[in-house]
Amino acid sequence: MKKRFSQSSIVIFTGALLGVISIVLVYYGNPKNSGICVSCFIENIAGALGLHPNPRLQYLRPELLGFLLGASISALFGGDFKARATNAPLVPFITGALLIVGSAVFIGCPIKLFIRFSAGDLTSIAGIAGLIAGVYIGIKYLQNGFTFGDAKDSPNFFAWLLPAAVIILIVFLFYEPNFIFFSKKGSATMHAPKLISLGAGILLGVFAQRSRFCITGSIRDTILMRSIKGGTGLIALIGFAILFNVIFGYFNLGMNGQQSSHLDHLWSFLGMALVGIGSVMINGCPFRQIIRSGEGDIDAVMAVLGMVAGGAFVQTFNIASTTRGVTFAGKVAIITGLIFVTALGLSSRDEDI
Amino acid sequence: MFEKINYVSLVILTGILAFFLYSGGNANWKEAPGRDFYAMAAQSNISAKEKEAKIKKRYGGIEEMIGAGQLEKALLTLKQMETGYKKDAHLYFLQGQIYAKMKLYKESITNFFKAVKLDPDYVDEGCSLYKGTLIKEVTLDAMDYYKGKSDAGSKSAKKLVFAMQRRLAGSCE
Repeated sequence: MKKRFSQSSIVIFTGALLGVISIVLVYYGNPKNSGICVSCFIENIAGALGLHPNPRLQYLRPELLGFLLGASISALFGGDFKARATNAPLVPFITGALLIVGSAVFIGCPIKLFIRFSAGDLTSIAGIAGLIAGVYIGIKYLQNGFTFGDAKDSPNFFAWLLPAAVIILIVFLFYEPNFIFFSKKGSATMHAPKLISLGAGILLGVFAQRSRFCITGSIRDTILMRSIKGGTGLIALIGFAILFNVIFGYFNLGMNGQQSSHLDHLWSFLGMALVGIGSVMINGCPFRQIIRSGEGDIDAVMAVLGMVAGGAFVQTFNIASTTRGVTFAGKVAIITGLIFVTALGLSSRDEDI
Repeated sequence: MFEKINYVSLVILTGILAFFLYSGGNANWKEAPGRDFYAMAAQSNISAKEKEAKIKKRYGGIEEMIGAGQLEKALLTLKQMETGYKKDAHLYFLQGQIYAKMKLYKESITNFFKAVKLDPDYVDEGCSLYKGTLIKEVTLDAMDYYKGKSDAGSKSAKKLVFAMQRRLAGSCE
């Protein structure tokens, strides 16, 4: 693949594939504007594991399990499967949880942000502005020496832990044991057939691992390179998602009547800004964290575990926004998150840089 | 310079957080909008048939009153029932229906939201209790009613109507 195709063409293809699959999964049953949403699906998985009390958000979303499995398969065959870790596991864990907090306040991860935008949801523009601002601030932290240590090789056994857990969860997905919760009503019951979702997830996992595609990474590269060349994958995602939304009749331009949205634009901005800063600090958006965890990156594994914990918190503590707007707990969580990342940016610096 | 901006941001953010927690925090923590998991869980465990039977038994007479146009009487009866059936979604759904017939759309949508918060089945197309079509019609009537009105009351009512339209469109809640 490396010889036949350039890295940039794989990135563009992955972005386009993500856009197309997100819309096709809606056609097969996933919630509208949420064909793929890492934060929503993480909340579903947290619910399925009994970590939050919302009876309508419990399902082992096969797409996320597929992302991780696909990334592991690709990394194994591509020679990238290697356990590595820094010595500050709490940083990616807490920041991972905050990525879900910011996403839940906005209602959607960075992928869903652009899927919502491509479906004509104009309320997403505040989130896009927030994400860009957040990534910019995150870059400033990096330029000022932010680091939480150098990654060192770890025993390869650790690299296998999360992929093994995912295989067990896939068995549970099809076997449906009584200790795993599956909603009988609500948005968690809206899903494409399991095999289609799992297949789509594995396919995207393979290409995302090969291409290193990342939503916030695309924005970061665009800012650093001062050229849209850095964001070609993201542009492909938006372009194909718009095209397929129009083809399937899901395109609906406007602010009102949009699925999973609210009009608290300031908090949408701040929520996505938190996601942007956090993603740059731990080297990838929620989607990219899942892919990296499949490669054996222990920091990403910690981020994913933090995301699952975050998925439980946002439901249990009523942090997640509703269509009526942002909850009080959501506002407190966002400000607390911004205080955390600011303090982290100030305290974890390599003074030599 | 960047470091100074960060320290100032840290102080400002901490100040905002303290202000938030101090001003009205207590009430807001206790009454978190949007979800009532215990009510939702309780409703989830009741079968559709049981729900329908309960509604018919408890509210059959009131629904007849509404059908006969005795709106004030029906509303008064529902208000009196509120102390005993505070967590019963249908109590609020019927109030929403009555207020809509009275063209009091803000009160109507507020009550529909209360009903949906306690039992989201009202806006879940897969459920036999689904009343999304009726609620959608009320939101459309409300939009007509508030069209061109720009006073503060109408503005806040429109905000509520838009929120209900978004809820009807579907959401992860």
